[in-house]
Amino acid sequence: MCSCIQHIAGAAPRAVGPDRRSTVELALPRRVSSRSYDDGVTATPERESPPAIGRWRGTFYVSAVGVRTLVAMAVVAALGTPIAVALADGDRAAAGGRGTGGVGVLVVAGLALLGAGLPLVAGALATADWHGSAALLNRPMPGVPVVRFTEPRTLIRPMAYATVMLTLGGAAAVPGFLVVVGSAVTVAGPVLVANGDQIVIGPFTIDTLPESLLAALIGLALLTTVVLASPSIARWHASLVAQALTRPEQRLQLDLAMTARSRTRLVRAFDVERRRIERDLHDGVQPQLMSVSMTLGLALADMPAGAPGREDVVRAQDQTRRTLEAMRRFVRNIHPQVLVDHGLGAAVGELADTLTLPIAVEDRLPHRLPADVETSLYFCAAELLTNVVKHSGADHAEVRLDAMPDGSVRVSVRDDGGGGAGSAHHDGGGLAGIADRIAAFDGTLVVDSPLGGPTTVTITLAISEEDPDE
Amino acid sequence: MSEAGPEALTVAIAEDNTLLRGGLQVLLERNGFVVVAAVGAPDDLVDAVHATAPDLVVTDVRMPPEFQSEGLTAAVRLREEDPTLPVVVLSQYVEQSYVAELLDSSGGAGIGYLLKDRVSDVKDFAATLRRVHAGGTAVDPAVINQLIARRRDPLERLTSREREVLAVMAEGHSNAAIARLLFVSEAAVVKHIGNIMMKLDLPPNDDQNRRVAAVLAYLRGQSA
Repeated sequence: MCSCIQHIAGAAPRAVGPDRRSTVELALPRRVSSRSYDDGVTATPERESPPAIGRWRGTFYVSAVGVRTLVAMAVVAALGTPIAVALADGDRAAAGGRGTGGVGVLVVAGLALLGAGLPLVAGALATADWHGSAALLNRPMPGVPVVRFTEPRTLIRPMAYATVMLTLGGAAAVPGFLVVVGSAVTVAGPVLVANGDQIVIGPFTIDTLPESLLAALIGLALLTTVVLASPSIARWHASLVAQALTRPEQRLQLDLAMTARSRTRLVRAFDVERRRIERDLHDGVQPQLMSVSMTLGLALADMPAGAPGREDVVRAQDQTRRTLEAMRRFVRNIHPQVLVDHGLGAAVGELADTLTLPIAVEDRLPHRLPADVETSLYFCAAELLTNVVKHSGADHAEVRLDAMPDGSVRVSVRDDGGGGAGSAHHDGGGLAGIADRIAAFDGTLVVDSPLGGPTTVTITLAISEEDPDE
Repeated sequence: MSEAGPEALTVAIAEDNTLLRGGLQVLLERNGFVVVAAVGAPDDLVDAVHATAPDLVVTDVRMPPEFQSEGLTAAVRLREEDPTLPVVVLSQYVEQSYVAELLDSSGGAGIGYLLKDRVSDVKDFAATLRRVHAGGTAVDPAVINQLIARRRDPLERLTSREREVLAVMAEGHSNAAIARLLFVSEAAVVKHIGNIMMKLDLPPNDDQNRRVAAVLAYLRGQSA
């Protein structure tokens, strides 16, 4: 007689039945796969399109990244100085026939400097660029890169990023820097030339006014091009930062959080839709049927007994009434009005009254719950009670609604039936659906149903006023 | 065809659905009532009652602005202002949690709570309204069945015939009417009622309205 206890936690919903998967779960992978990692890891479904980056913000960003890259290159070069000196020294020593002791010391010192310095430079560059791109995209980015020498694996991503930036980045930054400085000088060229100076840019010497004006035009065109291209370069670089510096588990966490939010939204959307359907029926179909019923009633009232066709009118009225009755049951199953008006305890009580089994409802909730929580718990309780009536073979059942000291709500349904709920012998009896619903609210479902009974199913849900869309 | 004479009862109707409001108005007027106000919102009902002082109020439960139980709230408010004002509340669904609100206002005399479907039994409905106007209580059999289901244990002692009598009694019918409805003799009804009151440990009571109130209070678990 093992007590079969299933604990289904919010973050990892597990279907109790073997192949009962809810639409909620099925809908998720599509949503996740609909977004790519390429345009920034922090993309959320609502923010599929990358934010607009203004020209000047882009220019500022690209300039800042360029300057940081150049500084990083300079620092690395500085760290490598002893080796460069040693090499030059070595050449001289070889020429002058002096000893190489000093050279060896310099090489060792240079290697040590580079070995310790490169990770530091990489860490600093990675951190600075990470903050820069978070500011540019104006989004929360997962995990600031941190370099810890005690934890060598933290070096990998910043180092990889720094390698890209010091090589490819440098290859772009140095010519870019030269182009910008050169262009700036040529723009000022006409003034300089007018004052009798001359400008030398590479092989070109500018010393006449027409030349300087032409050069100034070219310089202006180049600067404009840089400014116009900046937003694209900035976006490309920001995505590089996100790709290189985000750890895979951070992406997963982000995806999971996003998935959980969208699941909650879906469940809420279902409930909103149910309410809408209920309202449409209540406001549209039911009154029309009522009206038919009333008209028939009026007709009957004016028909003397035994009048021709009276029997048919009586039958029509009867049919209308039965249709109304069926509609009422149907609507109650969609979304009971008493839930809105009187809350969970009353709604579960009314539901229990309609079932064939004696069901005691003990409502110990001190106040009303948020509407979406009430709706979810109601449908869970309804499903559980239906299970009890259909499958448990119980003579009595009991529903308890409790507010827990930690602010959560607990709904427990206990029956004195044969047990074994949620085990291999059953198809899960809707428990999977309940688990999905509850998981969407980060709640837990515990099924305690040893063979032979009794069965207690407990749902615990934390109440938070927080909006899932936030 | 209207029986509206000097003693015709004046009625104020509140129902937000225009189709039903119109239907209700025609139905009542054809059955000897004078509809002095037909409105579609609870606030308008309160105003209309103040303005026209009707003999009877008939209101829907679910009305604007929130479409929850505004009509019921208005009815309870009117009863608080005038505990003798007969009020009949109609609802698409009857739930015993609503009837509690209503019955708690001045003990349930001159109160009706009915499923909207009952309206189509035109003669019955008109008779029920007159009973409520005379200070009776009319609670829909669906509510009574629900209450009986809830208080299952002591009620299991009732025979099925006694339960039928109980349900009809709660609608506010007289002994003679119960006898007619259930096709039994009036003496049998008296006997059944005696048994019911005894089995439920309620004092015997010949006053029809107080009898209904006692049974309802019992069913709602107030005198247990």
